[in-house]
Amino acid sequence: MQRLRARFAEVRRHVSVVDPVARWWGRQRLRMKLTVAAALATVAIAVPPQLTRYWQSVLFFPVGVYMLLALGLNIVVGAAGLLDLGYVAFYAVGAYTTAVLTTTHGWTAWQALPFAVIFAMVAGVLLGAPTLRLRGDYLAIVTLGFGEIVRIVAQNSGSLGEARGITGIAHPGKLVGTDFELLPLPYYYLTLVAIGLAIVLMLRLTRSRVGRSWSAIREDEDAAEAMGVHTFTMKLWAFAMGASTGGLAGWVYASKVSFINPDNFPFFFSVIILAAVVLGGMGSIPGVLAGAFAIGFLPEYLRNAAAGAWLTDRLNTLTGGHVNNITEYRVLLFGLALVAMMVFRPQGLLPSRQRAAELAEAPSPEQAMTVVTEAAEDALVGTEGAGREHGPAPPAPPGAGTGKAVTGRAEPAVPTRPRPATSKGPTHGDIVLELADLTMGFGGVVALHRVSIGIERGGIFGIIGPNGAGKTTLFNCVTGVFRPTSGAIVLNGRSIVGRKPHRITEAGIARTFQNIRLFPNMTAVENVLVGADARHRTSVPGAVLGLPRHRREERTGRAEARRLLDYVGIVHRADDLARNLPYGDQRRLEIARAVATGPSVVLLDEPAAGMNPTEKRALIELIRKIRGSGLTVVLIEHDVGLVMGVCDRVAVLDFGEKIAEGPPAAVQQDARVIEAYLGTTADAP
Amino acid sequence: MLLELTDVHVHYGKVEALKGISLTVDSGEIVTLIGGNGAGKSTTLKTISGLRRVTSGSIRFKGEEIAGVPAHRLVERGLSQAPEGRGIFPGMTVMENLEMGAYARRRARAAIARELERVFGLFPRLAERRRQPGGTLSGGEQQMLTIGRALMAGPEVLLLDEPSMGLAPKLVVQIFDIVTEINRQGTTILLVEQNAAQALRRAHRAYVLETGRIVRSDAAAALLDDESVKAAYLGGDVSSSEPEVPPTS
Amino acid sequence: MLRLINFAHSEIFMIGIFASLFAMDGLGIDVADSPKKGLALAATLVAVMLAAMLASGMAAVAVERVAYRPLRRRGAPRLAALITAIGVSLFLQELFAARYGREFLGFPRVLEKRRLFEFHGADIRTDKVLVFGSAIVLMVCLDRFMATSRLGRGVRATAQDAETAALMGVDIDRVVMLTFFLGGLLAGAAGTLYGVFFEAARYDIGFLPGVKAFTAAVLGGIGNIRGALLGGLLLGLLENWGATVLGGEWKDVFAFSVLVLVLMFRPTGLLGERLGRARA
Repeated sequence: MQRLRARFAEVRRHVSVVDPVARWWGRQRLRMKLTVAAALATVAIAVPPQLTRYWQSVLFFPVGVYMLLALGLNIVVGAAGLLDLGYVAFYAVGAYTTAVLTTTHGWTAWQALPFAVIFAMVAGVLLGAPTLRLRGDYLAIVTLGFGEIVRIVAQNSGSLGEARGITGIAHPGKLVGTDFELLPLPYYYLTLVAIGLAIVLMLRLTRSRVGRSWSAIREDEDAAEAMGVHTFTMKLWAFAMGASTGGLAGWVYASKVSFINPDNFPFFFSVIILAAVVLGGMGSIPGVLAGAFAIGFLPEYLRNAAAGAWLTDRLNTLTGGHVNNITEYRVLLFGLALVAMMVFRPQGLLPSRQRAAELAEAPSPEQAMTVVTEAAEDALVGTEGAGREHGPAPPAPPGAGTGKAVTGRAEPAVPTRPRPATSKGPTHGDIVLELADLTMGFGGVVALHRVSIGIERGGIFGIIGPNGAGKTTLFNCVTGVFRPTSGAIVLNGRSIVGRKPHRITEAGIARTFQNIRLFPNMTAVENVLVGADARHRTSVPGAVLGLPRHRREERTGRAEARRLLDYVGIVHRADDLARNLPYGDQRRLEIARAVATGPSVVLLDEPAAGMNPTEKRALIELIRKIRGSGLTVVLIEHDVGLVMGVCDRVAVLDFGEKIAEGPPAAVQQDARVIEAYLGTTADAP
Repeated sequence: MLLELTDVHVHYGKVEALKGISLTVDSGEIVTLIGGNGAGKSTTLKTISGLRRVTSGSIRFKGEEIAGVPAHRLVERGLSQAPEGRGIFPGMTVMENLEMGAYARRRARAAIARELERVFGLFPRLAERRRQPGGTLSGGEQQMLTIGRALMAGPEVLLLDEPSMGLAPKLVVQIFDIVTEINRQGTTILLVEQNAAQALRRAHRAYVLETGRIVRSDAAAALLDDESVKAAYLGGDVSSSEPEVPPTS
Repeated sequence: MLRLINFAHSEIFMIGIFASLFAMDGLGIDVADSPKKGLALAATLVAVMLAAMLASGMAAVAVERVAYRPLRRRGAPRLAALITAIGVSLFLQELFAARYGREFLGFPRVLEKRRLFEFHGADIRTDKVLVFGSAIVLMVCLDRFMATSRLGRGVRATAQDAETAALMGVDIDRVVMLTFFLGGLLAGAAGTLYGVFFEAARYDIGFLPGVKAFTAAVLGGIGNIRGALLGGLLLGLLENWGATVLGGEWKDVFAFSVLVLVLMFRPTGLLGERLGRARA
């Protein structure tokens, strides 16, 4: 029995992980992909007029509508990773808006179209704004609730026709010589156009910083935030776009069938669309389309085919039921398919390369259950910051008092950002980052107590101290993960206390994490790009529309990312998945990503952790190089030798207080420091 | 040889965390594993406890192979761990935490009672706070609780993961005094520590771990005097018993 | 404890209802029979409830073994677990629908629904007393079990820190199975009470109570058993208040709205979370 189970698991692992289809597709050149797409498009356009009216109708609904809805939900679930169980709500809003506008207010269907989409989008924003902070499955339940609320409101509102619904919805007026009356074919083509638009939209998005930020959010939301991604805004955009697509589908449906009622929008409908996305392959356009097609088409096919009758008989014997038609078993098979898929092939039929990668690796079961707590604890680990040049790359970096040799060349790899206007004048001196009386308390525990540190521009500043001394908490306060209880944090003359992490990154502080928080299933280049995206100026709609400025920023961003990878020495690994990189390269990548955000100050949290002496020497080189490009580096480290070797000044924390500060040699001799690190001085065993 | 690791390799995904660790722990010893952050010390303990899978290599406890045995089985065999970061159950009282330690010993009522006495003897502060929820204890008390809880299993080998983490220097000495006492009472101890000075002072033998490999192995006293160890882990050329008089300048 | 929203729980509940119906049938009670009294009544109720509890408990364990454990083994993402749960829920619903049809099945009236007395305009009926009383008893039992027994400690420990619990000798798989079993037992008991009170059974009867149960749990604080009790009470009161104010058909909207609002503004619940976390 044990062996049987082991073999079973082996097979399953093989099936889920080795993804021949995804790999094959990924390997195909663009020309091949375009050919396949063109072939499918031709079939989609040319074949339907040959079919019977019944099948044409089926192609419109459920198949076409499902495909459109699945594309929309794919943005929410597949791209942004947000669990939405109430997607039907947006569909309903679109449909009801169309219904009300064309019946009560006498508008034409075409006039109602933009409003159907907009109202659905508004609904999306209204739902999303307060709820997107929630954890995954809670978000799912809230959205489910919302979906049901919409349906029940429709059911009970007189103005929405209550249970009877609304009849007499207008068909769309004539367009390009086509009548939209009762025949299904024109609506089918209309849906096809909508699907085409949605595909274009999605492709644009995934290739842009919007798609990257969604991937980053999915992989590691906190790290994304630290890299300057506006996580909340991006999630809201995903919701809004998904909702508008739902609204569009609602319009098309309502304007064809002319009659809707609340029973058209049950919770189960949300499940169907979700299933289409999941079974087809989340995040992958071909997958989602295939999934939606299967879910829409198969039941209809089985209803009429002999295979359907055979299946019904088999199932009747199994369940002891007396069902006539396979459609009765539709939902049951559906549920079974969902479970089977999740158990055997969670990445779906045609998964995107990224998702297949994500689902391939898994921690041990005990680890999996503790992952939540650990992730939270890990979030409290230190951060690295990346410095940034001020003004155009100067041949010699500013930074008096460092006394270190300076690289003579300008380093074009390190991004520049115009020096922000300081509120205090040059008399503020060379202090780029100042902490004054910083205090941080959690409940009864005081993690930091009145810590004051002034970090000079262009210096390499070290922070050391025993475990639990508050070093990481300090980093977290500076980068906005925690809001300090009291005290000031001033960057370039501007206070950054209490600001959100992504804003602080924009202001000029970047970090790396003690336990390396890269986006594991994105390539090295993509990881760096997420950092670089922090400096993108184009808005989300601009990305969607493919504005010239957006395209330009993409191009320069990519070039810059490669330059940065070269700068840290891993450009040969540019297209490897981050999690496949060796440890030392991962550290370098994280540094590159942080530097890409174009900061003034780089915070590095235990960058040498786990490195052997050779790697440490290389790291020291890199840190010096970064400083040479004009950035200020602040470093938490346990490796005393490294700290002493590379830092200009060192501060020592112990129990949340700064107990020493100064040049490394002096700090090393300080009695308090010795005691803190080594225990009480006079203790004989 | 009570506990023996032979060429143990452990991977986290593609990354190799332990690259062929071999070490031994004899009955009655205190053996310590020191090294920098990320060196693999905690991973080693977690692997011994069964929380991490061994890619290759063997772990023998009392002559039997235990690599691959699920974690919850090892307690019955006499191996108990006080995890890193204390890992007490914050929502349970001190008493309940201690009872959890004896979870695997279902029928040994008398033995459990005796063990409890012993633990309270070692840690009188815990006795005072027995009804308090674990989350309300101070760091030092939590560390005591975690060690006490591990003792409740009546282990032959006690695995201690960074007991001094986040504790004030005085408390660190106290904890280590207790660790020494536990060893004197008959329990073998494998100790992982960042605070190399204290660990080396209390242990019989020590291994130095660096990026997943054992780079030094010797009697603890020898390593305490060793210059390179001092430089790497004891903060420069500072002697470990007397503070240097700061140079006047 | 598992940080899993068990969608299928509504169906475990439904199974309890059906099991109660079959148990009654098995005892030879017919719809046309007159209600029982005294010892016969007590015996019948106990027997039926035990049968339902057992049925639901075993169903819950089966679901865990087949659908959830493989995912747990692989550390599958939460979305996968949620979808599986939905799949199981749909499958079970439809299974019963196929076998027993989509119409309501009626319960025989075992308990005479007499009005005992009046309390501030509310009817205190025998069946209401039964439901309320049983609920209290069961919850107290559960509470005691979790607080004092060794297995209960194991469950709580696993919820707080699974890895450390494993170090203590807790067999996580067994604990998970036990948790599902307990959940099933309670669902089965609830099923009997539901059947006695509403006297109806149908394949989809579990959906709405399932969501409301989840709402109550969230309201009180996920993982907090006393919170769930409080949450249930509060939700019931709110629902009915809402029904009187806005009209009966809005009752369910009320429940959903409470859910949405609580999750939006106080995800930790009224009494605070003990075992899980709602915020990301």
